[in-house]
Amino acid sequence: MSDVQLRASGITKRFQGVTALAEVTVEVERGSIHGVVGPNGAGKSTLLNIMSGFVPPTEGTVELEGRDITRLTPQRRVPLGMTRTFQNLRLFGGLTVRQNVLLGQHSHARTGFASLWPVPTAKERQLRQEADAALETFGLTELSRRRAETLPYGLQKQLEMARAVAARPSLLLMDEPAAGMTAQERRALVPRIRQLRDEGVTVVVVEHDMDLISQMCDVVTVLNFGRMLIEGPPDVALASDDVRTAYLGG
Amino acid sequence: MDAYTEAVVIKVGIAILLALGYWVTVATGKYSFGHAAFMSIGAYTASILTLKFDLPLELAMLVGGLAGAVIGAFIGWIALRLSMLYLAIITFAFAEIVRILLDGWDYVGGATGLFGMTGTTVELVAVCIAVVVVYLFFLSRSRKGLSYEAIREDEQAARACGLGVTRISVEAFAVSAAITGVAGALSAHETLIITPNLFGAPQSLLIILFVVLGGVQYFWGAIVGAVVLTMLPIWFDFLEDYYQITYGLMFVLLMILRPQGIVGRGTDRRINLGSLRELATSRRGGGGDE
Amino acid sequence: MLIQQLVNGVLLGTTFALIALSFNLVVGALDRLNFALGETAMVSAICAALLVSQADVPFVVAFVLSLLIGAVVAALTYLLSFRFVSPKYHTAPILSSLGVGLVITSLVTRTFGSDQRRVPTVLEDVRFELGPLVVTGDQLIILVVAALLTGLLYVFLNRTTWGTAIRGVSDDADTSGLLGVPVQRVILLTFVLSGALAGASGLLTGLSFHTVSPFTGFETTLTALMVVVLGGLGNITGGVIAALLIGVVETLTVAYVSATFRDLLVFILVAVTLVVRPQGLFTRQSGVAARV
Repeated sequence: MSDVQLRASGITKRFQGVTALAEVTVEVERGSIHGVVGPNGAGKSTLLNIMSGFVPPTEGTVELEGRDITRLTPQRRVPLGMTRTFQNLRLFGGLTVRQNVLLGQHSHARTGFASLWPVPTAKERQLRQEADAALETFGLTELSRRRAETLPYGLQKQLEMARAVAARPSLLLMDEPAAGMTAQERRALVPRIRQLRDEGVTVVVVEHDMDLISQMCDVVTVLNFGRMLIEGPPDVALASDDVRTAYLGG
Repeated sequence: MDAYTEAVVIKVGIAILLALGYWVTVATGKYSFGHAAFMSIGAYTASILTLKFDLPLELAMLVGGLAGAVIGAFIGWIALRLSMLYLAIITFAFAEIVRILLDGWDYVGGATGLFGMTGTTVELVAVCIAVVVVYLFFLSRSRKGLSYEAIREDEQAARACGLGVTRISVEAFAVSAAITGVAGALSAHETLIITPNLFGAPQSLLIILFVVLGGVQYFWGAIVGAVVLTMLPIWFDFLEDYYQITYGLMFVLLMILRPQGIVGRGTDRRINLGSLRELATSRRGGGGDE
Repeated sequence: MLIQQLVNGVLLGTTFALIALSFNLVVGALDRLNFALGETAMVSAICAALLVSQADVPFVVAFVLSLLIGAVVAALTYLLSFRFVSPKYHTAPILSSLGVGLVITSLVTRTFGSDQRRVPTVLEDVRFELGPLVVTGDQLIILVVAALLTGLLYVFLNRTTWGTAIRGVSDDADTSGLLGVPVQRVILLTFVLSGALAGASGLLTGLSFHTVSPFTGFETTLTALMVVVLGGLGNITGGVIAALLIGVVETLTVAYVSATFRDLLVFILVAVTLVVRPQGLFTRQSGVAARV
């Protein structure tokens, strides 16, 4: 029943002689929530950046749906169904909340010179409805005309997710979605990500918070010092001795 | 309208066109430091066509704009995939190359330039401005305009949203060069004579000052800047002798006091200082996020 | 005489190396370009030339003054165009320093007139002949002073506390600040150094052509930028090599093609480099280590 949607194989990344990742292979199964965990500096974010195309790997390949996308720029991966969120939020701060979500739909919309014509096409009307629906889902409808940078942090996080979802991804890469969130916001995050999965989105999530990971993930990959320690269901992987040693430094 | 008023109106109108043209590339956050080159490309192309091939100005002007667009796309393609500092340097140098080439080209009169172009009327300038304003009006409300703003705000986020940042910036740069080329053609057929030195660094800086003074956020800010800066030396004659110092000091004061210009709000978004080095060494599409 | 031209080219290149070094120091410290450095070089050279030719000041004194004037002008530029300009606006310091450049040129032409100024020969009777090769005393001065300044800068950056601080700030200003490095003062020092280098290069260039014009500021900036791009932005060693290369290319172009095409060929060289190797000729993958 193995149905691999994203495969990163033999990924090595060196920054000026420092090896951030060594020979890491991760297979993400369709319809799963795949966690990537590890102590600080384990190379989690680098792995995500390589998967999303923001950083080229020194060695190794990334395949999406069996197609080699290693050399594809980030923007070309979006139409293939891959989007991401960032650890330190990257919103278009000066633009409104709704404009941020509309930009998420970029690869589905007409954006050429034809888009200057002020009468929206049927497709454009549908996209705008979708954008409004995404705003509704993430509780941002009331705030849609506010500038993104004026929202409190937690809501900015919601907005970034809304923007990513607006791209109709089949694979969503999330870099520390819970970072900077309040305990309450964290609790709300789990069902939200699960719901995304139930709607058919595969989720790869890099996260610090072990509780969160064990609550929502189907599979967990543990990294330490750029190497893969173990991969498996959260209860098994996180309970292994290696992982305990890595975290407790024992 | 008497001849003097007409001359002033045309002068202001051309300044507005230059400012609007420049605004198009600034809308994507990309500043050129050699836009006078596109002005001269438009001016020379159109002048050759009207003087030597007897084409009507309206047609010659459009060809001038087209020439600007093609060369603008090429320069943009070289420069825009690199960091902002490279863009500044390349556009700066490009303007010098154009000036040197025109200076050494006998067909267009070398350093003495071309003489005898006429035909720019208030109506023609007004029509050009109207077309550009209508274009910008709809652009500002479209998804294309939104993608320009997104690139200005945060290129990495724009990439994550699937925007082809380089392609979109190059396109904006080409459109900007086209409008500037048309403005150059109109100005050549107003001033009667053009020489390569008319389109040197001071002219490029003046175009930047129009937009920066007016404010980069809305296109009508650029109009405000163009009108104010063109009328200043007309209202105050004595500025004529001190215009370099005045413009220089304006840049300095403006950047300290109101870098966002007369029109528009300041931004309080955190800036991605990233490392220039990282940007400078990053490959085409990537870019260091971490 | 190809060899003679090559030597002349290298000599021209050494003055370019100084001004490029001056630009690269600021790029290193702030990731910003100071577009007024060309004018800084010009104003130092004009003042020094006036002192030498009209007040009979010895060249050595004028040279030291050119360093000082350059340092002061650069410090002023820092205060006007960098210190109080919001870092949120990337283009602000560029525009502002271009503005300072305009003001400097205007002030110089208003104060001293727009005439070219003569820089008299310093070592009149000294001439070295190595077979067919001729090196004049002035050329020797240029070479020795430029090499000396480059060497001193290298030692200063690598061996002294302040030099280390400069390198620290240019690598990572935030961390340096947390470690107690007075970042603002270090940046000011960097500007002062870069200004002094610009001043020296202005006077030495004047010495090599025996004239200084108040309108060369912009041209100097342009040449320096070409060198800096070719060598890799912020890459000091690369800048020196690129400067020598461009000096040779310019000299050979003037000698064997035409003076009109001098700058053109350099521009084309740089443009081609940027298309093929955007990071510059001499920068490796990411050159923190290679930068100083």
